[in-house]
Order: sequence, then C-alpha cells, then structure tokens
Amino acid sequence: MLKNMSKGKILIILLTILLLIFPFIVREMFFLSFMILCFTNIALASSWNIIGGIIGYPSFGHGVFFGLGAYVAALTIKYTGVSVLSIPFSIITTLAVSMALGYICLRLRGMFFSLATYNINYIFMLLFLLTPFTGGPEGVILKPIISTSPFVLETIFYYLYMIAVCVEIFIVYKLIKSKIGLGLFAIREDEDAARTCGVPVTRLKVLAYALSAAFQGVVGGLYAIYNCYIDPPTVFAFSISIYQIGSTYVGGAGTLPGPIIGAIITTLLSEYFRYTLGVMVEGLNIFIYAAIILCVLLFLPEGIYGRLVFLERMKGGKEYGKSAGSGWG
Amino acid sequence: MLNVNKINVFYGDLQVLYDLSFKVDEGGITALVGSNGAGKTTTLKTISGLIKPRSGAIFYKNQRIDLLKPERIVELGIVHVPEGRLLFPNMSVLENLEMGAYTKRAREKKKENLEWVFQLFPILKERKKQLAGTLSGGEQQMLAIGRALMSSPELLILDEPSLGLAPKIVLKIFEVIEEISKKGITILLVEQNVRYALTMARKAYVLENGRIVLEGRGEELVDNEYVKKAYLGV
Amino acid sequence: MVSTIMLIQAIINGILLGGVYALMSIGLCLSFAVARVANSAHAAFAILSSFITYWLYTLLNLDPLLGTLVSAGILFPCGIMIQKTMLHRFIGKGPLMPFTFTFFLALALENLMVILWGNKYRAIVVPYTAASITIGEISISALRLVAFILSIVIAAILALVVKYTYFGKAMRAVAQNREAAQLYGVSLERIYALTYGLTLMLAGVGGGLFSIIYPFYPSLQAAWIGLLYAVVIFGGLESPLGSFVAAMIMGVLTSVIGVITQAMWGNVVMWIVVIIILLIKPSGLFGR
Repeated sequence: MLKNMSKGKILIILLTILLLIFPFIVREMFFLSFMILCFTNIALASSWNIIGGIIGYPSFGHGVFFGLGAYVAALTIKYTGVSVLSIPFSIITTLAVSMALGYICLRLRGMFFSLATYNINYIFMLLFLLTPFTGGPEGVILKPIISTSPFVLETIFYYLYMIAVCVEIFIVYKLIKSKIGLGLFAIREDEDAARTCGVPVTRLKVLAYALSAAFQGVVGGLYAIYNCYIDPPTVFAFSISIYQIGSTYVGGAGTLPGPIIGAIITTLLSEYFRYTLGVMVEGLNIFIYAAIILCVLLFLPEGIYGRLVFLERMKGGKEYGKSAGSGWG
Repeated sequence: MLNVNKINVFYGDLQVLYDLSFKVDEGGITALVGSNGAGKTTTLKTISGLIKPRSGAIFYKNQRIDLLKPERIVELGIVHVPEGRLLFPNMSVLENLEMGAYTKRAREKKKENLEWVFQLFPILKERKKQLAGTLSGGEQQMLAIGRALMSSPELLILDEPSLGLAPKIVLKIFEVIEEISKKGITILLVEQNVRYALTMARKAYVLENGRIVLEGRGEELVDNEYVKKAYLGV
Repeated sequence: MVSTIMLIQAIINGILLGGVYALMSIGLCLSFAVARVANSAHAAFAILSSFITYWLYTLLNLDPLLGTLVSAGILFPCGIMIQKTMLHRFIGKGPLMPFTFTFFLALALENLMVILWGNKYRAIVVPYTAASITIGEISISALRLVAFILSIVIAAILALVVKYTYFGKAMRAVAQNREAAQLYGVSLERIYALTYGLTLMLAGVGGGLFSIIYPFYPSLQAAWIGLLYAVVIFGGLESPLGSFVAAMIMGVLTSVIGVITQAMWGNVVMWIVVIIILLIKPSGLFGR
C-alpha cells in the first residue's frame, strides 16, 4: 500500500514538470490562454472549497473578493504606478474587508449565510458602478506592465498564475493536515459540539473566510494586470461566484483534489461548449453547466473525487486524501 | 390482531430493540411497561410507521404493515397517540379534533365521533374554540385522546398518557380509557405508571433494554416478585 | 428637489409596487412555511410564466389576464412533477439543500429561456396598458391597480383555503409538526407535492401579471429572486401575512428612495436592510 503513496507523489512531480515546460512544448497562444483560465478556476474553486466545502458555509457571492482584488490592483497601478505593490495591496484589502464582513455574516447559518453573501456581491457591484472614484461603469484601463510580444507576455502570466495556484494548493494542503484543519472539519460536522470541545469556532470561521477571500483577491489582481481592463459587471459578475460553487461540487467539496478536478472539468466543458455551440446559441453553455450541476447534486453529491474515495473505501483500500464530505453542512 | 415478530430497530448504528416479539389480541387492553429508555416509545413508533425496523416484521390482522407509510397505517385503523401528545398548538381544540378525522374512513363517521368525544370529555366542548397550546396538561391529554378517537381507530395506541399529570386527572384519563375499551376498541397501553397499567390490562409485557423479559396476565404480573421489586417499589 | 406631489406619487406607486411584490412572494413564503423549501427558482418560474402569457397573447391573441390563468394552470402540475422527481430528496434536512438545488434549477431555467427566446426585453402591450386614473396631479396606472387588487384577492383566497379546507389544514399541520401530521394520517409526500405545485402556480400568477405591467427578460430572475427573498425574510419566512406587509413596506421604500436618489440605490438599501434583519431578528416581522 505504500506504493500508492509514492505513486501519487510521482504523479504530482511528473505533472509539475509537465506544467513547467508546457509553454515551450505548445507554442500556441490559444492553449496558454486556456491554461491561464484553468489556473484561475482552479484557484477560485480551491479557495471556495475552504469556506464552502471544508467549513460548510456555502458563500454564494464569493466572487466579490475577486472583483475587489482586481480593483485594488488596478487602482494601485493607476494611481501609484508601482505594479509590484498591486497584488500585496489586493491581499491586504481583501483580508481586511473579508474579516470585517465575515465577522458579521458568519453568525448566519446555512441558506441565510448564502443569501447574505449573494447580496454582498450585488451590493459591491452596484457600489463600484455608482461611485465615480473607481471609474464607474467605464471601469479602469491599464497599460500592460511589460511591453513585449503578446506571446512572451502570455507566457509570463502563465508562470505567474501557475506559481499562484501552486502556492495556494500548498497552503490549503498544509491547512487541511494541520490542527486548524481538524477544527475546520469539526465546525462543519457540528459547530456547537466543536465549541464545547474548545475549538475557537468564531476565530477559525473568520480565518477560513479571510484566507479564501485573500486567494480570490490574488487571482482578481492577476486578472486586472493580465487583462488590462476591468469594469464592475465583469469582475463582480455572478457567474464568477457561481462557477466556483459548481466546480467544487462536481469535483468533491471538502477534499483537496476535488475542486481541482472539478475546475478542470468545468473549464474544459464550458470552453468546449462555448467554442462549438455557445457561439451560435447564446446561453447554451451555461444551461449545460447548470444541468450538469443539477445532476451532480441529485446523483453524485459527494463529487467525482468523493465518489472515488467512497469506492476505494468500499474496496478496503487506502484513501487518497482527507475524508470527503458532501459539503452540505 | 397485532403481531410484532422479532423486530430489530436501530437509531443510526445504535440498536434499541432486540428481536422484539409480542402480540396484541383483539379487544381489551394490552399493556407494555418498562422504565425510561427501555424502548417503549421506539416500539410504538415502529408500529405506527414512523420508524422502520431493520429486520423482522409486524402484522396487523395478517397483513404486513412494517413497510407501509404512516398514513397508510392510520387508514388501516391503527392510531398512535404519541408521548408528549404532539398536538397542533396553533390550531383550536375543534380544529385539532377535525384534523383527527383526516382520513377518508374517519371523515365518514366524523359527526358521531365528535359527539362521542364531547360526551367523554365535556370540557373539550366548553373550550372548543380555544387554542390547543393554551390548554392545561390534562386537557391537552384529553384532546390528544379525543382526536385519536376522531380517527376511528380499531387499535388505539397510547404512549404514556399519564405523564406529567396530577393524580386526579390521571384517574379520569384511565376511566376514559376503560370506557373506550368497553366500546370495542382494542388498546395498546404504554405506561411508566406500572401499577395502573397492570391492573387495567388483560395481557401485559415487561420491556427492559429493548427486550421482553416478562409476559402474563395483568393481575398475575402485579403479584410477580420481580415486578414488585423493580417497578412497584415493594 | 422633491416636491410633495412627487413624494405622494412615489408612495402610491410604492403601494402598487408592493402589491406586485406581494403577489410574487406569497408563493415563496408558502413553500418555506410548509415544507421548509427555499425555492430559489421562484423568480425564474415567474418569468417563465411571463413568457407563456406573452406567447399566448402574441400567437393566439389570448388576453393576457386569461393567459395568466392558463400559465398558472400549466405550472401547477409542473411543480408537482418537479417535487416528486427531484426535490423530494432534499426535504427534511433543512432549507440549504433545496435552496442550492433550486438555485441551479433557476440558472438552468433562465438559460433555457435565453436559448429559446433570447435575452432581450419583451413586453406585452394591450389596449389597456396605458390606462390610468387621474386624481388631481396624481396618476394611478389602472393595470398596477388591478394587480394590487388581485394580490389582495389571491392572498385572501389562499388564507381561506388554508384555514377551512382539509388540504389547507394538512399544510398547516405539516408546517407545525411533521411527525404529528403523519400520525393523523397526512401523507407528507402528497402535501409536499401539492404545496410545490401551488407555489409554482402562485409564481405563475405573479409572473403573468408582471408581464403585462413591466417589460421582462430571462436574466431578470437573478435580480428578482434576491428581492423576493428579501421580502419574505423581512416579513418572517413562515408568515404569509408577514410577506404581504413586508412587500408593501419594501415597495414604498424602494419607490420613495428611488425618487429621492437614483433608482438603483433603492435596491442597495433594501439588500442592506435584509442583511441587518438577518443579523438582528432572522425570524422577520411576523416570525416566531
């Protein structure tokens, strides 16, 4: 059975090497852009997993921190011209805002928490639309941070995103394995019981919320620098919040590989449908996406990875990761 | 009439009833006694369909009922008055009684049943517009039994009807139970008040830790040494 | 700035708007009260009903008021079917699962409508669309008045059904105590199915009437459902009367704030109000 462990580790090393040399094997813009999109969705889903899957507080408006991170990064560059500061500022801002909001909203449970976060998303979108300071509906336009050829630029961002995703997954991995992680899972199982066991529930909830928000902020900031243009309807779009949820459930909420698998599948499917069918029929790709999520909720609530773990357990084999909950809370 | 055959009931992974078997013969009062946590309420809930046994079967008049839905079991004539009465506190006395006549066969006899209930419990007639949640404990118990009668039961299952009531009212309740029995309705009585239950019962079973440990005629068991020591404080 | 006449007009429009809100939200409240099902697809089905009414009018020349009835009638069995085939799995373990499932159901339905009919504005224009009653300087749109009266009528009918019919009593019983209801012979499955059917039917009435008064398009449902939840939570999730009162208050609030500032701020304020309510008294105005 120990062979399994090194099999997994070998796989990860192989994968990492593959990802590192990817831009040099595939010299097509299209594929690089696709990988960047993949990385984005993996990062978003993995971070949503922290409050939605592990702790069991499904945030229905988590993309608000993506948008916030994007705006902070963009405005930092616009008003200070120091691009290195942009991402750190995004992190600081999203941490601060999420801690404040989290402290308030995490008192609510279940669907009420979902509704509150959904509303916050909308409120922020409207706020950024209506206040002229942030550019209002025209958004913020940036110059590319380095002037080189588009392909080199794309490659640079490929590596930036890849680093961000790897760092994030590493942090999440460490989190799950730690004592803090144990406390987080306990909160999902039975919050009140956890409290009586001495778990600092409120602190952990806010920590989880803030950490996942910070990850969203990083990805948002990267998006701003990458895309060079942001506006409220794009960066605060509901689709961002919703895609995270769907991806996580498809892959398996509450597990480490779950959101990664789910994000990859979701990105593949939605891009495929967008390019083959979506171009001709508006709304088809989202419809198929929603239909898939419904099927997952009905028939495979533990997600793909969750089902694999379950089957593995039934065979009596060694499980591949932390217990897979269905994230329902 | 009712044949409980070797049922094993679990709460999750915790087993509560072990190969439980007993019979309720038609007519008269059958008592099921035992202390707290013995499994009495679980047994009743399994009979009325709220819980499904993991193994074993329950037969009512030779028809298998343990797999049926609760509403089907009520339609067959088995009516369960649960512990804690479970009334609808925001409905009036009359509305609660009317709710009792929900099933088709009960609705046919609604008028006569209502008259009988008011005859047995005149105080319910007085307070028919009052909200059930505002009644006293004893009145609530009367209402619970009354609405059970509105469901036109053939087998009436009573779970701890004397719980939390003053002795005078307990007496009245048991008088009514005897009257109902005389009308031909079979009664399965679960009681912590062992003395009363045994004196009234034609046949009685003692339940301990999910198993039947004693059975016999009610009056026999009252004189039983073990029962006297364990339950009657003698 | 804002004259008194404008303010009064705003308040009257607000009351009428509240009628529309009430109509749309009463079904949502019912579903939650009886089955603890948070129907996030409520607005989506309402918009579906708007489309059905629209097509009945455009293709068959059926008067939209009648079309609303037909549309609602179509949605009733749809609701029963959805409950029996899909929603039933999620009942009994709290409102989060139904909330999430119906949320994605709404997304699917919204985009299905976009695929079929596109995401552009539709409006039903009938001869009596612009009819209005004018009192002094205040004008009251006849259609909105009709919708308002209808919302009261429907609420009243629903109240009577709930109080006096066995079906209504069974719904109340299930809402108060599921186990006790079962022991009285109530079939939970039947009640849940009929309740969801009724919920969608009410959404259908709301959507149909909505289509006559306002222009609509599929993605409108995403904004509306937030609003409807706001109304229902504000009024107390399990109290239809609460929803009604909350709808009125919300209507007036949105309208007045919309006149004083810019229209969108009304919505922002409302959502902030909901969050505050969720924090202070989650049971709302009339909740237990």
